[in-house]
Amino acid sequence: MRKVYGMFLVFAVCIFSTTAQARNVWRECGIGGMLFTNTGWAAITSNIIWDLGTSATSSDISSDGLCEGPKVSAANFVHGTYATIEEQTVMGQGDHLVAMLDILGCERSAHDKIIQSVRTDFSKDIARPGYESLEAIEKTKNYHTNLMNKIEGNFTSQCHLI
Amino acid sequence: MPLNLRFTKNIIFKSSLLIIASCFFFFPHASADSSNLKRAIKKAIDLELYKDERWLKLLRYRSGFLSIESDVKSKAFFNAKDGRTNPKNELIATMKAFNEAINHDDTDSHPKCRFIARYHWLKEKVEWEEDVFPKVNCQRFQKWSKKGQIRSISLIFATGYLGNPASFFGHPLLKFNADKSKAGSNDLLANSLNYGALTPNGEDPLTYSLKGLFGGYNAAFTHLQFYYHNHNYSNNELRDMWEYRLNLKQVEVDHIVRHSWEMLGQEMTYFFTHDNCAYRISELLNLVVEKRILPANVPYAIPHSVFDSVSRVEHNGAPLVSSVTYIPSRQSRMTKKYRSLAEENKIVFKNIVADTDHFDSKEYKSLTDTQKILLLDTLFDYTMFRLSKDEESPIIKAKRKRALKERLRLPTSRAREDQGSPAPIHDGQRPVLTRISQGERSQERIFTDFEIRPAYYDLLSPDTGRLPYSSLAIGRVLIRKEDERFIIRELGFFDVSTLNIAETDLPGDGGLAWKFNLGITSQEIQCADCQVFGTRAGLGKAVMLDPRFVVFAFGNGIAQTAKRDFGSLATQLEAGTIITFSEAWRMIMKQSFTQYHNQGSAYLDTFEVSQRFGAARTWDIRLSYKYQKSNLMKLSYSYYW
Repeated sequence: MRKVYGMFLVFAVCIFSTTAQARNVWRECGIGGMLFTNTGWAAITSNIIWDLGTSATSSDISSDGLCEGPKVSAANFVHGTYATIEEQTVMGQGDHLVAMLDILGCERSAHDKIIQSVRTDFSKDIARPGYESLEAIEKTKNYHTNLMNKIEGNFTSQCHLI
Repeated sequence: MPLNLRFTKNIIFKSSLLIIASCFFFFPHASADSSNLKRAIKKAIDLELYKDERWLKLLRYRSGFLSIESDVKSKAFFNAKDGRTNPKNELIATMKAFNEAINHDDTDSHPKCRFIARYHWLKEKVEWEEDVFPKVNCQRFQKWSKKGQIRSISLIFATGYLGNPASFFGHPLLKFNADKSKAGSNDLLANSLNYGALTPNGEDPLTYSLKGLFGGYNAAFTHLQFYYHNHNYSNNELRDMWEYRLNLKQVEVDHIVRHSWEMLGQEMTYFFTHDNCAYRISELLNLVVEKRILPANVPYAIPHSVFDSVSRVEHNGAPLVSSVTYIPSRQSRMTKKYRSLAEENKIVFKNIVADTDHFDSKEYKSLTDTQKILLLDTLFDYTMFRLSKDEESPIIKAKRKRALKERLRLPTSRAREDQGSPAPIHDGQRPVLTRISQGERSQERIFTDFEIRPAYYDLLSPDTGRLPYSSLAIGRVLIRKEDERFIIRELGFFDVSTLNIAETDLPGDGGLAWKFNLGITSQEIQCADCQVFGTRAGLGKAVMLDPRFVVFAFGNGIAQTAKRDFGSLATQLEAGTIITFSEAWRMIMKQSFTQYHNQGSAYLDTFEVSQRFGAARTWDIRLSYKYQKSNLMKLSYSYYW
């Protein structure tokens, strides 16, 4: 019995990496838990401390396969710079949009079309009543979902990390 | 637990681990030839590499009076038991550790990966055969270092921030720039290296300051992608940044990158005044830059000094800094854009700020698309500036949403780039002051003042690289020689103030002026020996009537040791003006009324005019006059270094 249990454990660990992607990266990878807001006195941290785990995630070197990869990195990036992403999306251009699409491995020649496509849907998001009162994490999630739908729907051949 | 059951469990556990490992990896372990290893160690010892400056720097050894000890306190940083205090044993143990078996579940934990800078340096010096040590794939390091594609290093300066004592002096960090020709390379995604104290959440300011001053915290290097710092400094704390790109050879870049990796998370004692971010970052650069960036044997390290030094250092026969780039904060961008709007468009802008229904006004609708885009671009900066102070404001959030919607109606275009930039920090006056003054006070009494102040600037100082209209003085000592006597006249432990002046006429710009100081001062100008110890704190308001003309008023509270007729508690009203005639000539004129509330209710009024002449990095001339029941005049020469 113990041997069977041991083998089951081994199997479970072996398949962990394949089931990981099905888990909820939003809940489990700490996106939104990072210190991206103005924290008043606690802004002390901006100068001097970072939790090493948080750093690892944001620098894309987390050891947990679930929280690695361009999709999660892009979500962290959007969350960490949302105000700028929002502005540059309505403008249709900007260095943060380039960085976001670089994370996803999108060819520079495809950026304008991807942004235009995201901009169209983003205009609907903004027009919704209550957009301004959404939590930052909700805004990020909506934007990221919109972005990934566009890329996975129409730009897979131009975005090589997806 | 019976022995046989424990044994069975052990076997199952070990078998499981073995199978788990084989699920992921299979690496044949290349065991090293021990005679080759012994030869390599012998050569390293014969070459006395344990005494080499590079080895001592890599291990952060610091020589004491009779001993040597590494600044790093983390045990994991050393391979020898006495490695922290014995460079030779550490060298031998490190080379032996390079020969350790590989943990295939975590190849990055191998000493060749953890101490990758040491490995490469020793390999270069000892020139051992390729197969002396096992081959290890340092996957996490490879990923972190962009697979060897980091081509340059930038030193970033975030300007001072009066919201946090640790940030008063600004903050340096490093940015590792990848090869721009490679796909996906982007400055915002570059790794950056930061050094700072590891403080618990919710530490109160007093504890934080005291522990910071007296070594109560550990500190470590940590890393984040640059976009995080860029966003946080620019949007949340409204701090300008400067990027100093360093002119280093590829081999030097590689060495700093490798050493940064092995330093990540290693803990050292933190002191605000010396073993701080400025010191540790300069120490890191001095791994490859021969000339010392911060002077030796000076008991404090200030970020300004790091940037002042690197901008003047020659390295490999060329300036160490190849370019300096300004990264403006939200507030700076807002101010510049708003000032650049035509006067009639400023009115439209202010109307929209007051009520977004003005987007439907004839005035807004009659603007060209380009004018509308400029106005909306400014409005984005303005709303973010306001949200940085009150992130939950529903009114500002609604205004921002409306601005975003309006922008979607217009053609796409890139945000306007800022034109021009202020003078960088290294052009600012140096932080350490020594001053000599000759003066006369009532009854023709001549005196000479000697003054030192390790840091940093006062209200009369030029604004370059500093928060305008603010002061930050620490450790100021003023000794007076009069009638052949030397007296410590003033001893300022800490003196900080900001006028918090609005740079535009927009709502929410500017705020309350405030000041706080602690130290010993003289009660009156006419007494020779009347020092009091105390503190003064004040709140007020300052207004810029013209870019050169500022008026201010403060209400101050004073608590001090009582002296003669003057009690220990007082209130003070203070009003004055600052006139900047030119960059090289600024004047402050102020009047104060002080009422003491105990010990006889004494009253004191003071009128003061001070002027600075000159805006050089290293000197200025000052002239001051003070009236307080009697007159005092003083002419000073200041030298900054």
